[in-house]
Amino acid sequence: MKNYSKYMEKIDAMLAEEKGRKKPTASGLLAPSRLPKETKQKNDLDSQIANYISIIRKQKEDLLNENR
Amino acid sequence: MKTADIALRAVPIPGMSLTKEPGNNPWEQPPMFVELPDVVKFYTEELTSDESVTGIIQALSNDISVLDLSNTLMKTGVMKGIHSIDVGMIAIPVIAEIIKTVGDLNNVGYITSTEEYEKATKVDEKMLMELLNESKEAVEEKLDEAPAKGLMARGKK
Repeated sequence: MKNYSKYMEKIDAMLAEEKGRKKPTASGLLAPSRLPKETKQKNDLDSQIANYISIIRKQKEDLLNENR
Repeated sequence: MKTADIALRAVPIPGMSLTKEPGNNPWEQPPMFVELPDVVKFYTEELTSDESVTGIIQALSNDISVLDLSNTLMKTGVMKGIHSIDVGMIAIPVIAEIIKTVGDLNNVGYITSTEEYEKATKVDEKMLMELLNESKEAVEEKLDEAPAKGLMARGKK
């Protein structure tokens, strides 16, 4: 895969974007947390790959923290 | 028997693969997995076994790049009839990430891809000559500045 680095840049950007999203803090009946969640879940291949990679990285961090 | 005869027997003859019954090889059969989650699960289990971890560490220590290793593993999977090549190509970033993780967890340095490594370690000849000349000049200057020592040295007036 010659364009691996470019693809990984894209995946990293997707992961950074997901990390940067702020969680809603408001409370009450109309608080964003009470509203129905996005029905359309991202299911394209890039999102799936990003999801797998984020899981692997999270597990790696956990293991590294355990070893320290 | 001539040497040429022996050499001819060692290599396959064009069309030789067509003499066998089709469908006997694993890659000629329908693959075991066709979905990405199944392929990822398969590689996650395979690559985290003790034997595989040892193999990965050895390969990374011998300067085999992560991408080359991922490609080889994926193609072996295709050859064994585990998955099709298209799902394998999609799964390569995940396989590479698993290999990188194994390397990181075992404190083994790795090269991501051979091309990147060559690009990063390539030295421009012009720049190298400039650096050499600069260092040569600096050494010569230092030598000129240093006072002469020894019995025959001329003292300062």
